[in-house]
Amino acid sequence: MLDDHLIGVLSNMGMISFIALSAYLVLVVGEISFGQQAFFAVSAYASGIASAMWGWPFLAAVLWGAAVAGLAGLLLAIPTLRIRGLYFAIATLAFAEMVRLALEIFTYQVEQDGELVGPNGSEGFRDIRYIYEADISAGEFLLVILALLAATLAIILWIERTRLGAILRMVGEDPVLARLQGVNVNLAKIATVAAAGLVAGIGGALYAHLNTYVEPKIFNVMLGVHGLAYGLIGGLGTAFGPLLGVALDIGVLESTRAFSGYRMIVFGGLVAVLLIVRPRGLLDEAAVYRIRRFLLRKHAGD
Amino acid sequence: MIRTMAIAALGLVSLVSPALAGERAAAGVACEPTAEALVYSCTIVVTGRKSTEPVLAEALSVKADMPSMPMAHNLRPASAMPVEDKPGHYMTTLELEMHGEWALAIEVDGQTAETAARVRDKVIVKQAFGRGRDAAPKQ
Repeated sequence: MLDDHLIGVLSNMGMISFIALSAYLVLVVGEISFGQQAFFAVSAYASGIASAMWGWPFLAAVLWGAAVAGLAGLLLAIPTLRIRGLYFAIATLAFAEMVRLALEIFTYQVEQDGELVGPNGSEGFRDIRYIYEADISAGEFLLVILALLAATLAIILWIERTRLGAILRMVGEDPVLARLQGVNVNLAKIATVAAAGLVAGIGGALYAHLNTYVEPKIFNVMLGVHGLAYGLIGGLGTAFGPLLGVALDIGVLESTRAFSGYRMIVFGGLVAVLLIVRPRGLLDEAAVYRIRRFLLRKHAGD
Repeated sequence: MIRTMAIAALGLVSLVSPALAGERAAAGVACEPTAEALVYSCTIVVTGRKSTEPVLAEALSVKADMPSMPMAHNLRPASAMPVEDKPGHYMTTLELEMHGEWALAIEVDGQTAETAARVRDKVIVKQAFGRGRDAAPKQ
C-alpha cells in the first residue's frame, strides 16, 4: 500500500499536471501563457463555493468550477486575438494578476452552523471540506485525480490524432499559412484558450477540495511558470510531454530529496539548458515521430 | 465483475451525494526553533470546534506547504505524539526547507475526549518561520 507521503506526492503531481496540460494546449497553437494559474484559481474558488456554501455534490462542483474557468478562458481569448508572441504572454500574466488581486478583495460568506464560510479576501477560503464530510480518504481522492487526469489526457490525445489536432498544430506553426488553407485561425485560438482554461479548472477544483483551503497567494506567477516549464521540459510533440516534465520535476528532483531546498535552482537551470539544446522539449515532434516509427516497426515485426 | 461494478457504483454515489455533517476540529500551533537550522519543535493543541473538548487523536500528522509555492515542497508529513497528562496536546518536529510563511495542514483522525464524537478533519494554520518571526501563528 502507498504511504501518506507518496499519496500526497502523486496527488500533487496529478493536480499540477492539469496546469501543465493547460499550458501545453496554448503552446500547441503557438502562444506562451504565463497565466494558466488564473483558471486554476477561478475554478478552485467556484467549485469550493459550490460544494462548501451551496451544498452541491463534489462532481457537480468540479464540473461547475471547470466550466467557469473555461468561460474565463473565453473572456481572455477574445480581447487577446489580435496580439501574438511576447504581447500575448504579457497579457496572460496581467490577466492572472488581475484575477489574483481581485480574489484579494473578494468576500462572499454565508453562515453555516453559527460560523461564516466562504472566501474572505486575502484571508482566503477555508473549510472546503467535502472529502472529510463524505469520509473520502486521501488514497480514494488520488484515484479520482488520476481518473480525471487519464480522461483529460485521453481526450487531448484523441483530438491530436484527428483533423482538428492537425489544424491546431498548423495554427501554431504558421497561422498565415493556416489561414490561406481555409482554417479559421481566430476560432481555433479562442476554442483552444477556453479549453485550456477548462483543463486548468479541473485541477483547481481538485486542489481546493483536497487541501480544504485556498488563498490568493497560492495562485501567483510561480504556479503558472511551473506549468509552462513542464511543457517546455517534457516536450511539445505530444500531450505526454507535460506529464514527463511533471514527473521529472516533482517525481525525481523533489521527491527523491536529492537537491532538497536547492531544487528550484536546479529546475531553473534545467529549463535554461533544455531551451538551448532542445527548444521544443525532450518529447519534441521529431522524437515522437521516431518513437511512433519504432513502435510501428516492432508491432509489424510481431 | 459484478462486485467490482458495485464497488465502482458505490464510489460514484459517494462522489455525487451531498456531504454529511460531523464534528470539526480547531487547532493551535506554537513552534520553537531547535539548535538545528530550519528544524522546529512544535506543540499542537486540538479541540472540537463546537464542543471545545480536547480531541484524542488516533492519528495526527502535520504537513507543511508554502502558500507562495504551492505543490513545490513535498515535505514528508510529520507524525505528532500525544503529550502525557495533557489531553488534546501533541508534539512534533518540523524540518523545513526555507524560512518564510508556511501553511501547516494538521490532519486529525480521532474523537472528542468526553462525548466521543468522531473527528476527522484537516485544519490549516499559517505560521511564519524565520529569524525574528518564529512562533507567530497567523489565522
